[in-house]
Amino acid sequence: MNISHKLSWFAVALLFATTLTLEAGDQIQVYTVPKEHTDIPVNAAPISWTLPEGWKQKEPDGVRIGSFAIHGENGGDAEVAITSFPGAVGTELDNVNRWRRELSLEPVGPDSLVSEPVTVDSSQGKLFDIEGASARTVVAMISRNGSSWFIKLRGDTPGVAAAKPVFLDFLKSIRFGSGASAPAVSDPHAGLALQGASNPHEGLTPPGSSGDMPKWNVPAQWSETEPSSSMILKSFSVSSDSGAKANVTVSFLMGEGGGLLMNVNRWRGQLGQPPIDENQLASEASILPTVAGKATVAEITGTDARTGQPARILVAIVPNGDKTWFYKLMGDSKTVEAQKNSFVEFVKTVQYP
Amino acid sequence: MVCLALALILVFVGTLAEVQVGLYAAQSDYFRTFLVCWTPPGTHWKIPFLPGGWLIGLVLLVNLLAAHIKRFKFSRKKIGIILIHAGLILLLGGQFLTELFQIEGQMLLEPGDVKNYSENGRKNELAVIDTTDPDKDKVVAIPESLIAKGGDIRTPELPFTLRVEKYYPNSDLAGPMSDEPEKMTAADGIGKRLFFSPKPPTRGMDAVDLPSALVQVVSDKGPIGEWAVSGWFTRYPAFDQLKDTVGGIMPGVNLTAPQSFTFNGRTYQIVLRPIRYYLPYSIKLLAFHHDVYLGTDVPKNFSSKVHLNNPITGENRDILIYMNSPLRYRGETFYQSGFEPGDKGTILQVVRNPVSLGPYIACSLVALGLVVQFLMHLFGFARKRAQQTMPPPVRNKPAAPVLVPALANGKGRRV
Repeated sequence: MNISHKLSWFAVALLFATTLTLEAGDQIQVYTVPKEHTDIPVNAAPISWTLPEGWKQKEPDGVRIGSFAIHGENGGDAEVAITSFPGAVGTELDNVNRWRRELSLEPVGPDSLVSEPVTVDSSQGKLFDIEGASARTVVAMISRNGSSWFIKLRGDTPGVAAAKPVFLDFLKSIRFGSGASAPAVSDPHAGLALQGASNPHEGLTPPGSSGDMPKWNVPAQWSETEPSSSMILKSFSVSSDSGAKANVTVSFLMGEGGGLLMNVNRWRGQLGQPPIDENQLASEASILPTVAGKATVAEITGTDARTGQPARILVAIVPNGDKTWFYKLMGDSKTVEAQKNSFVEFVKTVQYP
Repeated sequence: MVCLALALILVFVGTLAEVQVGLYAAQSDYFRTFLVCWTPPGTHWKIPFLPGGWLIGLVLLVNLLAAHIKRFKFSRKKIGIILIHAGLILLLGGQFLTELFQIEGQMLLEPGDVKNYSENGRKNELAVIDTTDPDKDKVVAIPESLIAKGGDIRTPELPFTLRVEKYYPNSDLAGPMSDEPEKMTAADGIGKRLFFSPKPPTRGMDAVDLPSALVQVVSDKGPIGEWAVSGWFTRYPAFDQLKDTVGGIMPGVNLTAPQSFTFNGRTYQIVLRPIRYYLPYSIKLLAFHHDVYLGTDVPKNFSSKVHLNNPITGENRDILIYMNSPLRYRGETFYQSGFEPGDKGTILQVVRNPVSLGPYIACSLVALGLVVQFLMHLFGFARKRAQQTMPPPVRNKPAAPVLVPALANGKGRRV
């Protein structure tokens, strides 16, 4: 083997060994770096409290930030739930009538609203006490930093009566964490505090232009209207012969949009219906084949909390790519029934980009 | 010829594989490797069945070197050829070294942000950070490849064991009410309320996998806690999408804050984040400009005005980085790569390549060799041409001998 061959093989061996050494090096690295200074506290809780004696704290779910069970000494039971939503969740009257319906009470007008002032961690709010035939609800409603907070005590009448004084002390013990307000961020990777719902449609090309908007076959009898919020992408209005109206909205969220059951229970709440569990949802929802795949359809009948009139919601949820699309037909029961076929056809024939 | 044929086969097979596994995975498995391997289902074996791009390139390079060494004979007439070959060798070798040693990352900055690190665009690490010291953090960075194997991870640098209970190479958000068959939930931290489900690896060229892992921290005395860590919390733009998707359900919750725990009087953070490449200096974004042509949305220019602060050298200066005008500083090159939607901030591509000048030198050598070879041929041709058109020179012949008649004695003699 002459010198050139030897050199060639040596070069191959050297390069191969170098590469193997480097490729085998998925090693644990240890190093010291200057501290990143941010104003964001780690694991800042949005809200904290002092747990009263006798209350049992339950695991929070996706909607409830805090959940407690109270077992009264005289047999009365109650529960406390802490929830928060971005922006204003309906008017005071809307919410009060919703709570009244939960107690099977008739809705009231704005002149009949009764409340007391309440202070929670220096935030002024209102305390509503609603008593039904056998159940009672006491709710503290506070607006803070663009969010609406609801701290609700609910249960049978004796249980709530016994728990109310402790509940009022519990309200005094609540402290909103720094995570509930807008922090001064120097490094966006250190954390982002939420400041209400952002517009999921930001960045999309406007309707009518080319881009990544789906194509809809809108029924002739539907009239496009201005969306009532930034969360809605498209809005249509349709009227029956008698003048009763229904409204169709189209929106989407990234990912799963919170999951099917959570959304269905939210819509049930809009019609004054109690929440259901996964088993009930499985029996009530149906599958609709569409161009984009399978859509889940749910139908809810009840009374519109805003108008006090009987209403119906027909909703189709269509996962497509990285988004979940929501199509909702809501309004007068007869109008919704009359538009059901058109709505189904509308959802089935959407062409996604 | 064999190498070229294998290269053709490799390109064909790799292109077909890209349909299944995506561009990035196909590049890693077929081209950025010595051997293309097949893993039988249910095993961790790697059975090679085809030479990879690196091996074919390496053999081509060695062939070129060997031919040069064996047949090298210096000759003025071959200077051009030698230069061309040298340039090609430098190009191949330089590219090979670039593959091995280049570090490429991204730096996202919003106005006012200061950073002293860039982040890998695809690869991740599980970082366990001792934040007890008020002035500095000690980082133990575990590569994602070790997390993917699952099981216990022990290192003398940590006083506890990290037990990887679940790992999804790519994941999606799973709401608490969603009906995903498999969900990752944790006993502690944000994973108690925010869940993840496995998702097939992404195939898109620009899409990036978002891994998630369920990690239990275990000491000699028992479990300390269990946390769900995910690229959803740390990789742009996933954490923006997280806010959009989950924000209405968990208002006021700091979803992207590091999760922490204490052990033996020390505080640790645990986070799954893009691999970080720290720099001995910092860059602060002063202003970002996105200019469009008047009356249109067509981008005209992106520029980032940054402030560079190097405490070691004492440098403190403002620099403008814009398209085709990167910042080259101490071996790193900062390119104006992109911007966040809504012009919220800038994205700089940070590249460290110790052989970055290699392609320029190689191309210069090849060009010089071509020019030299061309000129040599040109002059040689011109010379021959000139010789053909001129008449041959006349040469003086020796005189023919003359016979002189004999004189007195009657005999002739040659003069």
